[in-house]
Amino acid sequence: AEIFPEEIIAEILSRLPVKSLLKFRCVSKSWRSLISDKHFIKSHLQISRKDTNFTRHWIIQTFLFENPIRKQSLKRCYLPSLFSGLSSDPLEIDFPIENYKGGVWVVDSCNGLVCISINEGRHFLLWNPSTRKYKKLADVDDDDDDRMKLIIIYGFGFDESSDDYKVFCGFSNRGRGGTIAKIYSLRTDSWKRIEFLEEDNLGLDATGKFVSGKLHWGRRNNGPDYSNWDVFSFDLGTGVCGNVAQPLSYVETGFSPSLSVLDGCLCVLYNSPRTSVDVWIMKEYGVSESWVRIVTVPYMHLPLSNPSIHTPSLCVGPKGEILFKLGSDFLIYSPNDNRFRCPKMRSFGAFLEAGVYCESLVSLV
Amino acid sequence: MAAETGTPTTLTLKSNDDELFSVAESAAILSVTIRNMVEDGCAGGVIPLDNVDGKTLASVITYMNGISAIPADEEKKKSYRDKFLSDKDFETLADMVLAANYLNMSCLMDAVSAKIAQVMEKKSVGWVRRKFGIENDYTPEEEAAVKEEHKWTFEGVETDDDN
Repeated sequence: AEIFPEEIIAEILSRLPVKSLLKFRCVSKSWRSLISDKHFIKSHLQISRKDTNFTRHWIIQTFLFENPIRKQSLKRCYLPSLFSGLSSDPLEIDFPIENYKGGVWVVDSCNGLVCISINEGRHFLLWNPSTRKYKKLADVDDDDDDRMKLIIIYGFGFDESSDDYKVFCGFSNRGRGGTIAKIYSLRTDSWKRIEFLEEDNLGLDATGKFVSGKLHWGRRNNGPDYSNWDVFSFDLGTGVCGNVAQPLSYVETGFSPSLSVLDGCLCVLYNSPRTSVDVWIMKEYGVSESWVRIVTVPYMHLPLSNPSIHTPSLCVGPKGEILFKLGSDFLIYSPNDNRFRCPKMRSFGAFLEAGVYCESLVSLV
Repeated sequence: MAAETGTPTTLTLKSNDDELFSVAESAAILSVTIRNMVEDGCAGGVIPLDNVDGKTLASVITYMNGISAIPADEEKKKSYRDKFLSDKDFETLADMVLAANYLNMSCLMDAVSAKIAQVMEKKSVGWVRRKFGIENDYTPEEEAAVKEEHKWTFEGVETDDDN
């Protein structure tokens, strides 16, 4: 006879990795329906995300291979290995599409889904690397009117109000001024043009950072350098644009800022070339008093390649350590002893970019 | 009350096979079920726990005493839990998770569920069916079709160790 009631089965299964869960769909019909149940998938993701050892987290990286042909490819690396310094060779990843033209680029990840741009945004792919399922999105510029436009900003996130995953694309409306935008909805599997009245000055970093239901970009104001800038937000649910107040002490200094996400909070990295990178985090979204500087990375710890030409990003790891991606290098900061170290990856040198995703069963249908 | 008199209150718990256990109230109320009984005034007599046998209750009490002796330090509590569960076999873990559920002890529930998940992670489908007492309700054709959908997940399955 069955030894566990259903609620205990769900408790146990929600602590398994995705690979094991897909295998155990074969146990019985009721296990299969539990494992594909929406509520189960949600609580499984919540538990995976909260794991303090980050055993369900992976780094996904784009590498550029010169041989045999100049081609970008994706690899993944187990996050706890990178922090522990044990074995952190990037693993081959079964990228679903073999023959693609142009480069692949990780836009962002959300709830275990990774959004990939192929050939500078001509095609998009939503992909769950944990279940190996993917969906190729319809082309974004399918009508003649929008052809030949340059994608300048994009982003990926989850709209809780409609329980829907969305890809955002902003184009420069050449010759006519202004920006036009389209949003893809997974639910309707289609792109929709939206009102979007931003000027062309959202170009600090093309990828919107997804926090609290909104995408965020650094926006340059009318100023001689980066000194005048602010954080522009776009709500994926309501389509409303807004501003997020930044730490006051930085408004007038000459830093070049970039946005990042740490532990679900919006961050600003103030990069002062050849000196340091200051990392600020907004602990409570939308509350300007909650900005806290968490670390300053002195230049001596920064990689030799000019970090200012790349957008730094970061993620949190076991024991509150922070992983920085600066150019083509990783740097780990440990807040407990205030030290920095460089994790090494064998087999491969430079990568173009890296993002982090958490395993999930989230489906693309 | 204990704080006023200076002597810790002791509770008597009774397992479903009539074993009696003494345990400090401060440790026992990690169980929400026991805490509710204490608040309802059951503490004076013997607290009967109809769904837990003596062997499992003894183990749960060891855990209650161990974990409540550790001050508020999540790292240390976690390593105590890991060590406490490290040598337990599947059957013992199964009894523990049922007891933790009945006693409403969320920290033990989390830890034992995670441990069972860790034990079963690389096991075969057949092993899981036997250990969980689950009847295979697929026809061979249905099962083959479900397996085919995610065939790669059957790589690296451990050889069964229970028969």
